[in-house]
Amino acid sequence: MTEAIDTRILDCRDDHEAFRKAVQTWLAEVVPPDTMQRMIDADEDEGVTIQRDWMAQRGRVGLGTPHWPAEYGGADLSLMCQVILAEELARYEAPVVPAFMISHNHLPGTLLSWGTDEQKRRYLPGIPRGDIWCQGFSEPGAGSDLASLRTRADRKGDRYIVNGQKIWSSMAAFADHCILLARTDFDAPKHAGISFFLLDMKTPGVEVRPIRQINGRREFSEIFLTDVEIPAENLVGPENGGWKVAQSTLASERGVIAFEYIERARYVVERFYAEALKNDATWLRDDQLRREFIDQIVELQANRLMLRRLLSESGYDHKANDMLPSYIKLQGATFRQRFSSLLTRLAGLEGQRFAMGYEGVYYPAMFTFVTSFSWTIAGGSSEIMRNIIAERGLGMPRA
Amino acid sequence: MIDEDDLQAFREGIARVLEGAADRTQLHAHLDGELALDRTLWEQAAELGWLAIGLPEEAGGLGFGAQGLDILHRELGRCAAPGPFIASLAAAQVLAETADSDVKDSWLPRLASGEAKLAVAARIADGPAGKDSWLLGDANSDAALIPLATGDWGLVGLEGGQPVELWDRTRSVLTADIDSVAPLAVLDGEATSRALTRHLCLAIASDSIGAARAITEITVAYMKEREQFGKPIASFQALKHRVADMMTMIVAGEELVSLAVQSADAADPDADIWSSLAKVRASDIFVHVSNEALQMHGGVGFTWEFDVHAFLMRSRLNELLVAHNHELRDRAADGFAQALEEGRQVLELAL
Repeated sequence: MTEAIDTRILDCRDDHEAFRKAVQTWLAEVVPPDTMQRMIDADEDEGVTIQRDWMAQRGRVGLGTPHWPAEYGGADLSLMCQVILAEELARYEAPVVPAFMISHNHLPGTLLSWGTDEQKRRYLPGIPRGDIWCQGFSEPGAGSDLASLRTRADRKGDRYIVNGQKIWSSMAAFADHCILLARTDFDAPKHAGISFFLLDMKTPGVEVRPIRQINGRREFSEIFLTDVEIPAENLVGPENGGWKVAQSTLASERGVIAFEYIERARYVVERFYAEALKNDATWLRDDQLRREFIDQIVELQANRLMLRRLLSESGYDHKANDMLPSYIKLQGATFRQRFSSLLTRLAGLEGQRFAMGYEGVYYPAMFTFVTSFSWTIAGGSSEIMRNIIAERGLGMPRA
Repeated sequence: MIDEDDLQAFREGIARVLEGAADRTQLHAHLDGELALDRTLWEQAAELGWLAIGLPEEAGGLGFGAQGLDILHRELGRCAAPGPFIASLAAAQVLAETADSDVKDSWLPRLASGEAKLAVAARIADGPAGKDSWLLGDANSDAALIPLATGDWGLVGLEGGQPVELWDRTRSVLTADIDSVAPLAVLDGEATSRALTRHLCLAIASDSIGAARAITEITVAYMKEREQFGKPIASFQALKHRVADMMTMIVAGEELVSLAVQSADAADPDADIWSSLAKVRASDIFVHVSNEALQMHGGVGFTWEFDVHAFLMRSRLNELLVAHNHELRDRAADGFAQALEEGRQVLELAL
């Protein structure tokens, strides 16, 4: 028996202004002012606890997985309402929830298109209750060239035996399950021999080793797979058809998440400038630095505007906007790196004192700067984005 | 609220006309002094009502405001079109916003119909105009909008204007002995200077971003044709990545120009910040993109027969009109500080 949901916010969904007001009223009540600092001070375990508590809080008002179909415990919330929600979560500095990235987006994005009814019934209801999923796609030898992956899955009766190594798996140390790509045919062309699996992380033979990152955090892990047994019913889509399934997974990295993150940057920029003015910061008297700062505000606004176009009712699914996600990713990653690099210079020598931050919080400067490389490298590196823009967008031929 | 379909139809109409009236052959004939494309385009624009696009309906305009002008200037920029469009159309908007009704009555209908043309001070930040001041606009302009020694702005008649020979042959600039002329009309200094800066910035931003996209498209098409080492040079990754960066800048820049245009039409208190920054960013992008376009064309880009130079020269003039980009950045930084002080959510964007 689950606790009854307070539907006062969802009841306003047909009136966008009322919906926004209701979200604001709720956020003002439930987000304490020191939330971001708590996330910064948290270690990995505490960080996940804060995120779980926050998702439970959201669940009580029906905003746990509001973008999902009602059939699977979602609220069927319109795109516009999702965008409004994201805008307000950023404005009120509600906790960021990177631990649930795969659970909320990639898993349903995959299962709703490719999963069997049994798979959907079995795995989707666990998400609102806080199940964490991770992604086992990249390998030490398969980064930008993902299709060259070599983790193997051999069919043996009603199960697959999996051996290999995965890397850059975010939150794997906390994950209950993993969406996994493995090679099931070594003779086929590289894209044609891959299959997509759902893996229980408690299966014997699964070993997770967190990676010590340059920003002092350990969100990413390596996953070692030794004779791991996966039941055949956990295959998603056809055997050897995993590459196509993975395209749905990656396409589910929807603009709403990127939108919420860049909206958060806006408040940091605004507050940073206001503080500098209040304290008469010395860099304000340096014309060159002040101009650089203004240039970064321009880039910030450009990214926010592109995302608004992508997410507008007329822009979403619009053919002319096919390439927009790649432009947004490349421009946004570049902005994050340049802006945090500028903040690092503005912070002066004192900014070199070690200080921890949290992904998506955008301060302290040096933490944000070193973390910005995860934007320019992960999720399709900036170089891959440039290839996609040139080849798919502009029709420049492959070499 | 202007209907999206009307704007789209308007854009297509302009593009179609320019395709026939300002193609590459005609542009080159103009650059070679064999065709007065500036004049023929102006006449066509007048006939088709383009010059009335931004003016309010009560002044004989079409009432499309900054949004309409944005469409026109982007399309003109796409063909590196010659003509005094930026100067005269910006001046007309300024008169509509800040002039007394008798000045409006005597000028706006003639400006809307194309019967009259105005020149403007090419730089706003330099104090009162003198005989050496550069005026942006047609050599046969009926008057020029300039800052006066009194601190006001004036509309002064132009006689004996001397054209300045520019690197950019698609534009015209002149100097004139204006000290001795009594102004035809006097306008409030502060309001006029602000409005003219805003409208010129918007026009230059639209022109720059439209031109930047066009020269990039021309360059990509050329790279697909041009073969070296047995392959089209468009297949070389070192070049693809540079082109991808150019397009990313352009797509981002287009959004910034649209933001500036919308905030001007909405008379947003921070409209001047966004128009300044749109000019800064769009003209910087135009300079960068033209530079890259020429390099990617290789030797032929250095020849007069190819189109790149027309864009390159235009980009350098655009960059320097109104005010230097660093001055505009400073202005925006001050505006932003002031907005924060006054408690305005200057970065808030509509959904």
